[in-house]
Amino acid sequence: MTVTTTPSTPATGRDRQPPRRSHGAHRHGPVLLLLAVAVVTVVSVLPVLYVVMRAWEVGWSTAAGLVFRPRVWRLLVNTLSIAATVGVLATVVATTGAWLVERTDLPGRRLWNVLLTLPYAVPAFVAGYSWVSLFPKVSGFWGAVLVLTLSYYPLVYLPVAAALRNMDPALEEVSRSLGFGRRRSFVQVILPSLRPALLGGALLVVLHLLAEFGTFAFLNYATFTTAIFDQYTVAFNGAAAAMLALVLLVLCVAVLALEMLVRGFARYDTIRRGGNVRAERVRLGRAAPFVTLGLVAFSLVALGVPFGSLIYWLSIGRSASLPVAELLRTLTATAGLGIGGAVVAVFFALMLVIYALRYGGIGALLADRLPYMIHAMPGLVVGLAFVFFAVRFAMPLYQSAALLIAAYAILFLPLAQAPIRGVLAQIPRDLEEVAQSMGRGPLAILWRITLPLALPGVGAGFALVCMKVMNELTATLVLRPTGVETLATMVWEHTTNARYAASAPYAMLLILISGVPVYLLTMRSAMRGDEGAT
Amino acid sequence: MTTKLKATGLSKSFGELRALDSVDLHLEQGDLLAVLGASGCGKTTLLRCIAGFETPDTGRIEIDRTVVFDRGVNRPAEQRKVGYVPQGGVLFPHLSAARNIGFGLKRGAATRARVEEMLALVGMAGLGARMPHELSGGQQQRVALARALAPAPSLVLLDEPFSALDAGLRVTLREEVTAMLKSVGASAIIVTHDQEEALSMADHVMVMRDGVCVQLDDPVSLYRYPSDLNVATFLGDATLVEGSVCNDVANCPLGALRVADGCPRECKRCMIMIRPEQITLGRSGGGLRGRVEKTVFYGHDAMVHLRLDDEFGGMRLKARVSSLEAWLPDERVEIDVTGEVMVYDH
Repeated sequence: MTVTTTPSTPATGRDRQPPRRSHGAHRHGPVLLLLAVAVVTVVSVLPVLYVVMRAWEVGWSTAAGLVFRPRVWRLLVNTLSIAATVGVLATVVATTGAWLVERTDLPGRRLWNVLLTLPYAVPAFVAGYSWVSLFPKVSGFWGAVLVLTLSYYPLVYLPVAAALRNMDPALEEVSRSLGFGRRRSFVQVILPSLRPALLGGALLVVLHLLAEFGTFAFLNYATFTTAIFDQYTVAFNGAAAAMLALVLLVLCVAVLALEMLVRGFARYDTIRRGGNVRAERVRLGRAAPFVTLGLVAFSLVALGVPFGSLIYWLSIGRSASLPVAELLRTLTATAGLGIGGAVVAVFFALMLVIYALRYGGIGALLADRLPYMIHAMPGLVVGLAFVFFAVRFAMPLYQSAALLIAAYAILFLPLAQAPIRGVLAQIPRDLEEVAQSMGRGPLAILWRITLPLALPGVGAGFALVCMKVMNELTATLVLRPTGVETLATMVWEHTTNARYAASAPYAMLLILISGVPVYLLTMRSAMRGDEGAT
Repeated sequence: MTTKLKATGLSKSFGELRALDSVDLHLEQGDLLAVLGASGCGKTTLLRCIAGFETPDTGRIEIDRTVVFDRGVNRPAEQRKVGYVPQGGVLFPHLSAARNIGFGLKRGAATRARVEEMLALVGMAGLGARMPHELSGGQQQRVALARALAPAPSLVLLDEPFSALDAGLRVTLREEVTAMLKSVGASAIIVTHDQEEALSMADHVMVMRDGVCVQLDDPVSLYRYPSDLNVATFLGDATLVEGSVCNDVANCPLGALRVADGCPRECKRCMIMIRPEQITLGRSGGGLRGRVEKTVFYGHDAMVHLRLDDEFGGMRLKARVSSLEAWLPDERVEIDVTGEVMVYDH
C-alpha cells in the first residue's frame, strides 16, 4: 500500500481573512449606528462647504484673485519649505536614535528610550514658548526648524523604533550570510523594511506642521495658519481667510493621499515569526562614550531647554505670588472640556468602528476613512468653519461650550477610533455568533459581550483624546465661549504679550497633563520589547 | 571525503543558562546533518554560532579548513560563505522572488541566468516577478532556499525551515529540499525538533540536550541503538520493561531477548527498550499470549495496544502493524519479539 501525500492548501499566515459581513436583516445596521455615521459625515464636510460657500458669496473671480496672488505664493513657499526641512531632519534624528536604542549595545537603553520619547509630552507651542522666552534670537525659518524638529521627531521615532524592535533579525542575518556587511545590510535590507514606518512618520510630521500655529506665531514665521489667524482677527472671518484655508486644505489632502498611498504599499509586515532568537546588538566599543555624550547633548537641547526654561521662569515668578485661584479655575475648565470632548469622541468612535467592522458598503468605508481625513484638517480651519456655520445658522451655539466640545470630538475622533478598532478587530465574530445562538438580541450582545471586551481600547482612546483636547490651542482660540480660558490659551496670551513668567505655571501644568500618557505609552512599549527578548 | 566543517569545544552561555557546553561537530563534504532536540536545547545557538550571528564563549570553528572562529579570530558572518535559511524563510519583503534570489550575487550578465537556474531548481520557473506576499508558505520557503543556494555557498544552514508549514506540505517539501541539496552537492546542517524530519532527511543526526551533544549517528543506528533512555523515547515510541541482563541475553516477562552490541554485559538489573516495530502479532504460534485493548489507526500504519495475559506478567505493550491488518478490541493475539533489544542501566 502506498500513501500519497498531496500538499494541502498552503497557509501563508499573512492573508488575513476579510471581515465577514452579515447578510441578514441588519445589513445596513441599526439606526443608531447609521445616525452616527451620518452626523460625522455631515460635520466633516463642513470645512469644505465653508470654503465653497465663502467663495460663492464673494464671487468666483474675487475668490480666484484671493487665491492666486503673490502673498499666497510666499506663504506656500514658506509652509512647504519648513514642512520639508523639518520632515527630513526629524526622520534623520529619529532613525539614528531608534537605531542606537534598538540595535546597539548602548548603555542605558531603557532610559534613552524614555528620554527620546519625552519631547512628545511637550506640546510644540510650549516648546516654542520656552525657546523664545530664553533665546529671543531663535526665530524665523531656522529657529522654527530647530524647535519643531525637536518637538516632532518622536512622531517618527516611535514607529521606527517599534518597527526595528519587531523586525525579524533573520532579515539582516540572511543579508550578512550572503556576503554583505552590517552597513550595506542596513542600507539594502533594514532601511527598505523601515520605509512604511519612516514615510508614515515623516508625513505625519508634515501634517502636523501644516496645522502648527503657536510655535510659528511665537517665532515670527509666517505660514498659512498664522496668516489665516491674522486675517481672522483683522477682518472677522473674511473671504481672504477662507481662501487661504482652501489652499491649506488642498495641501493637507495631498499629504493625506500620499500617506494613504504609503500605507497601501506597506504590505510588507516583517513581524518576527515565533523565532525566539534576538539579534546580536552592534557593539559600539570605543565609540560608546562619544555616542552617549552626543545623546546627552541632544537631550540637553531637546528636553533641557523646555524644562530648564520653565523652571527658570517659575523661580523668577515666585516673587509675584502664584495665582492659585486662577490656575485652579483654568485647570477645571480645561479638564471639563477635555472630558466632554473625550466622551463625545469615544461614543462616535465606537459607533463608527462597529459599523465599519460589522457592516459592508459605502457606509462602512466612510465610517472607516472619514475621521482620518478630518484628522488631516488643521484645527484652525475646522474652528473657522464651525464659527461660520454657527453664526449663519445657529447663533445660540456660537461661542458655546457645546460647539467647542463638538469641534474637539470631531478633530480627535481618529485618536479614539484607532485603539477601539484595534481591540474590536481582535474580537472574533464567532463570539457574537455564539451569543446569538444562545438567543441574545443584538443590543444585549453589544452591551454584554462587545463593550466589555472593547473596554481597554475605549480607555486608551478616552485618555488620548482627553490629553489632546487639553493641549489644543487654535480651535479653542476661535471657538471658546467668552471668558473661558484653558491652560493652552493662557500660555498663548501671556507669551504673545511677553509675560513669560506668567506663562510658566500654565505651561508646566500642560506638560504634566500630557506627560503621563506619554510615559505610560513608552513604558508599555519598553516592556513589550523585553517580552520579545525572553 | 573532505572535511567541510569542524567545530570543537564550542561553549556559549547566556547569563546563567549554558546554551552550548563544549560541543564537537564534524561534517563531511556533501553530507546533510540534522541537529535534533527539544526547544531550548541549544541547537539554534549552535547554528547561529556557525553562521557567525552569535559569538561563542570558547571553542574553534573551521569551515573548509579555514579557521573562522578561535581565540582571537572571529570572521564576521558576511565572510563565512555560509548559506542561511531562517525559520519561516523570511524573504526580503520589498524585493521580488527573483531579486531575493539574486540578492547575494554579483551584478553582471551571469546573474540573470543564475537566478533563472535557481528558480527552475526549486520548481518555480516563471514566478520570479512575484512579491513575497503573493507567494504561498511553501513557495516562500523554496525561494528562501534558492536565495541561500544561489551564490554556491560551501555550507548551507537551515533553521527549522518547515516548522511553519502544514503537515502535508512539510513532507513533500522535506523530500524536495533533500533532493535539491543533493543535486547541487551542498553540505548542509538542518536544525529541527521533529524527529521524523531529522531521521528522514539527514545522513547523520546529532541529538542535543541541555547544550550537550548526546549522540551523533546515522539515522538507522540512532533509532535502533539510542545511547540512553531519553534519546530512545525522544526518537519514537518505545516500550520499557524492567528485567535483568547477563552476557548477551536480557531476561524479562517477555522472555529471553538478544541484547544489541554495545550494551552493558555484566549481570545486573536493567531497563529493556523495545520498539513497537519489534513486536509482531499473529493468530497462532507466538511465544506470548495477550488481548487487544484498542487499535489506533494512522492511515499508513496502526498502533495496537495490548495487554499480556497474567501468566506472562500482565504488562501492557504497543505494537506497530500494517494498517491493512485489522485487530479488534478484546481479540486474542499471539505475540513475538523480534530482533535485538537495547538494555540500559536501571
